[in-house]
Amino acid sequence: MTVYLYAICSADAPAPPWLAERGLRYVERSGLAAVVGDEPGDLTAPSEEDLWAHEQVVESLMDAHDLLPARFGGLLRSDEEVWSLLDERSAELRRALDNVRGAVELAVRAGWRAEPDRRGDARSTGSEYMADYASHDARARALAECLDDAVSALARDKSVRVLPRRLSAVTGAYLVDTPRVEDFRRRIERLNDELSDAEIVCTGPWPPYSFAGDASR
Amino acid sequence: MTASTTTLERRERDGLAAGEVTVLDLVDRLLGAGIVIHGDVTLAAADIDLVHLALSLVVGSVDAVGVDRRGPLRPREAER
Repeated sequence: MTVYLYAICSADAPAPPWLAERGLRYVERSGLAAVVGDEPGDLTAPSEEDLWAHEQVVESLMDAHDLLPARFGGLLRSDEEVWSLLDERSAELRRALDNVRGAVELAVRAGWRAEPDRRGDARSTGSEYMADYASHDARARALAECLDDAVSALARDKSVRVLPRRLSAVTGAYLVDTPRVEDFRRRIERLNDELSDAEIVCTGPWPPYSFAGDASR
Repeated sequence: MTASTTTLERRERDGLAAGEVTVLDLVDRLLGAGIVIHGDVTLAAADIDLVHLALSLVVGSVDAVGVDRRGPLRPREAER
């Protein structure tokens, strides 16, 4: 019988009392526990509700203890395959768990309040296109630096992408110690108030999806 | 952070604009990050067309999500 993976945590982390009520259980091996349940419907055509259902299980678990969230759609054939997963990757998974202990992920998305000038997009020559690209790239990188100055000191780890050709010019994932979450949010709000041309939005706290280890890349 | 303020509940509380961004961030994380099972085991979501899924979830909220508003949505541009 197949099992669906929600998260991996330490086997020492006590299972929350509601786990069985929701049809979930621990599969333990090598000092680690995989939190699994039955296959939740058709995984090949998920709706937004399906994604939220996965997310709500992981967030509820995150309230109970540290964990590594699993990507949506992870299905294993049997408990034996879960054991193999935990055996083979125990060192990597333990390192990742140590890395995220006591922290949550905050997502930051920065975009332009007005659409960047793209006059040259359709008809420009190659060199004009590249110059246009370079100016948007420089603008987006400057925005990323502003963001970095504002919040990086509050984050334990980060993963930031600069996307100069999009309205969302910068997206970032920040691993933040739980006590610093409100401070992080306030700094984003302040930066959003200060910048006239860019809008910056912070969502979360999320389970640390972006910091779940090399396997997440 | 407690179970009483899940991301979904915050989304509802913070209103539509924040919710649109939250859905994008949800898709990025659940389908683009997190522990991946590979090797002999099944990754059921591996065959999902992620770009079109993301678009189907966020279409109609393009102002907040950074999808180019001019012209048709092209999969290559929709890829974050």
